[in-house]
Amino acid sequence: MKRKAKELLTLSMAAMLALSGCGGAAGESDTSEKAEKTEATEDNAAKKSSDGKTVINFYYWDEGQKEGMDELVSLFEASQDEVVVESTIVPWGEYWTKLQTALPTGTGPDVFWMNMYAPDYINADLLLDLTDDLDAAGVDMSKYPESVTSMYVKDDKIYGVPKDYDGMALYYNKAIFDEMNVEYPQAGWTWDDLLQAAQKLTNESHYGIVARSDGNTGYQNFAFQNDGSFVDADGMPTVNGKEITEALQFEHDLMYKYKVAPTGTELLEFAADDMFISGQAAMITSGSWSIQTYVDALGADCQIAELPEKVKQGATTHGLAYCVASNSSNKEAAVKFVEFAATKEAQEVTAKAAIPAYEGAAESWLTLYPEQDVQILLDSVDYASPNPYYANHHSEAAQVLTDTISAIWVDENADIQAMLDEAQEKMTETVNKE
Amino acid sequence: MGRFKLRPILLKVGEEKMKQKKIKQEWLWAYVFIAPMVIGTLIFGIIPILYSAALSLMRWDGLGEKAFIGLSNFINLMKEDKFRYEIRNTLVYTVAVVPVTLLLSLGVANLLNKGLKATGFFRVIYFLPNIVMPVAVAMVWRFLLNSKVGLVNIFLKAIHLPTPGWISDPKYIMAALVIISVWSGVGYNAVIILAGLQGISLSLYESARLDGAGNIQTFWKITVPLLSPTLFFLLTMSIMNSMRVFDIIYTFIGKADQGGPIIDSSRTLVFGIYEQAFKFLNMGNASAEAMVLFAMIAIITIIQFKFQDKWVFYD
Repeated sequence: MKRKAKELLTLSMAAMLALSGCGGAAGESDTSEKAEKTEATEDNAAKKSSDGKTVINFYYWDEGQKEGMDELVSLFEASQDEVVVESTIVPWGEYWTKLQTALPTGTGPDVFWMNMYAPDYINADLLLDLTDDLDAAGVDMSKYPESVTSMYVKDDKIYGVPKDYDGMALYYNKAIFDEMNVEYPQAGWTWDDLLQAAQKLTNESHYGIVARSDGNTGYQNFAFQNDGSFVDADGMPTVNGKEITEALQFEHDLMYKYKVAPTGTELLEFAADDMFISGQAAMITSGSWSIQTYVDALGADCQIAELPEKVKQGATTHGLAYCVASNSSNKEAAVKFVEFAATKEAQEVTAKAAIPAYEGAAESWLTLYPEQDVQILLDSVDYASPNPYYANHHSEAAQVLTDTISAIWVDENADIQAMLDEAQEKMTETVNKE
Repeated sequence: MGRFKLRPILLKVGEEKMKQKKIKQEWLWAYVFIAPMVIGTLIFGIIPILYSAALSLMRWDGLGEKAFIGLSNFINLMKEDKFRYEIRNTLVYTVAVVPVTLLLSLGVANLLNKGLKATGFFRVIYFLPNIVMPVAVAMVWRFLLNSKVGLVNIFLKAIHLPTPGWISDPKYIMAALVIISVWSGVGYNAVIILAGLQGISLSLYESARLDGAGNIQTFWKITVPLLSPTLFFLLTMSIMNSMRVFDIIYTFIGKADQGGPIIDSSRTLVFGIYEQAFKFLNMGNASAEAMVLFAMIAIITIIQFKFQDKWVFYD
């Protein structure tokens, strides 16, 4: 355990260095953003570049996807000669603050990335209704996963074009399975199979699995597999159903009853990802975005299997979209760019860092990890459900559930049903308040 | 008769006018020179404060329409458990950090002032934590305080003391935050106190010694009174800064998917303001909380100024 601990410390130190590197990069883009801002306020009206082309502003947050976005922009600019795209990376930390303040005053971008916060922006009339334009341009929305397109639809109106989505899977460390002589996880595995394997894999130097406390990679998947739902058709919370209680009880038992997973308290000290890549845990549930980190650390020992089933297959997915500002002064040009970004060839060039949303555009992404069966990640979207979205005061209601889950995770004797009942009451109150 | 007197009067009026014009001109230039400062304070200080005060009476999600709702935001705050934790944690943090930091800084400054060799070297060493980014400080301390692999607990274990879960046990998280803050605060305070110490004339100590005063007596009768303006300044500023602590706490515990007991034991008022404003988009609640914090700091500072003539000694 001690040797592992040391490795873990080194890893964390490396992560810290990487982080401070990120900080510097964020600072740089910060200044460029400021420069952009002054420019934007100077001529708020329809912008024309010196050669008479229309200029549109495009915001996104991920430095890691710069290569793909640059390629998308240059492809688009080559495909026509009327519109030029000026893209800006606004770091995640200030992205939402920036959109919140800039969009209503009309100083924001024309086109931008959007995520599950979309309903807030749709309700505030800040996103342009793209339904007719997409229809006229012949964009076939059935080519994208429904769990992603549905995030950006309200009252049958389409407000965003899907960009990418997350797949979900069970990652495992093959070396530990070989060491303990345990059969690899397979498609069709049930919770019981998972538990039995985890028990066999647990010894003093490693746990069988990590029971993650966050929704996206953790408890939501188990709840969906048990046919649970966190939200009803009206966006009201339904978090104290029997299905969800059972799913949380299963994860709680992994930690405290069977002791095959690190406890919630241990997870406060060591990040779940670090436990997996340092060989302190044999299995972990995670999304497609983790694969690069895991494979970098474990190489071919990192393998992928389907998530286990209970009453059905279940997973969480989340997808990004390109949206247009409703008060953009260059709507036509902006829509043109978004329509281009929706095409298969455009989605293919952005495929490196994330799974592209367009059906069949993921070929290049699949070739990145020849030693892992990444098709499992792609396919998970077929049975996946989106993150719950509460009708009103979403983040505040979601935080109530997060608080409750965190409390359950660190409490060996947690009365899960009672705690969820309380959360349900408080969340309903939050969603109902003005 | 009047005719004869008219001229001198006119003259006088003219002189007066010239004078007034000159004074006016001087005032004009004064305004011109202070304008940048005044405009800056208005735009970045006064107007935002007033705007925030107005927002505290409204409901606004940062995107849509604002609606006036009177004191509802304040009433809602009072009902929140989280708000009570925030007040408690902020006060506990301030009461722990300020005296410990100041006493340690006083000690360190006195040592540095003793004219050891390499004073400059030590001054730099003590000051270093102050120029490190709070994010980096929090990250490094997360490793040092890790209950299993952290140096602090390895050391405690070696001398057979209990090894608490500093960053995972709600009972200890505040202690961990206080330790980090004291560590990063001592250097700055010590350097300022040192400057104050070096401003005290040595002849005072010499004559006191001639009169037979010991070390303790000179410390209390000469050092402390002459240092009191510096100490007063540091006390006021430390209390204000501690009441507004955010960055260290946010980077130390504020993970996105985290909540529950550990956060409740460490969330401060500014942490709550951040959460309300930028996570929940309740600008009204956030502003109301900011107003409460503003009032608390204002009251404490006024009390401090009221009592300053009791112990602060100006030349």
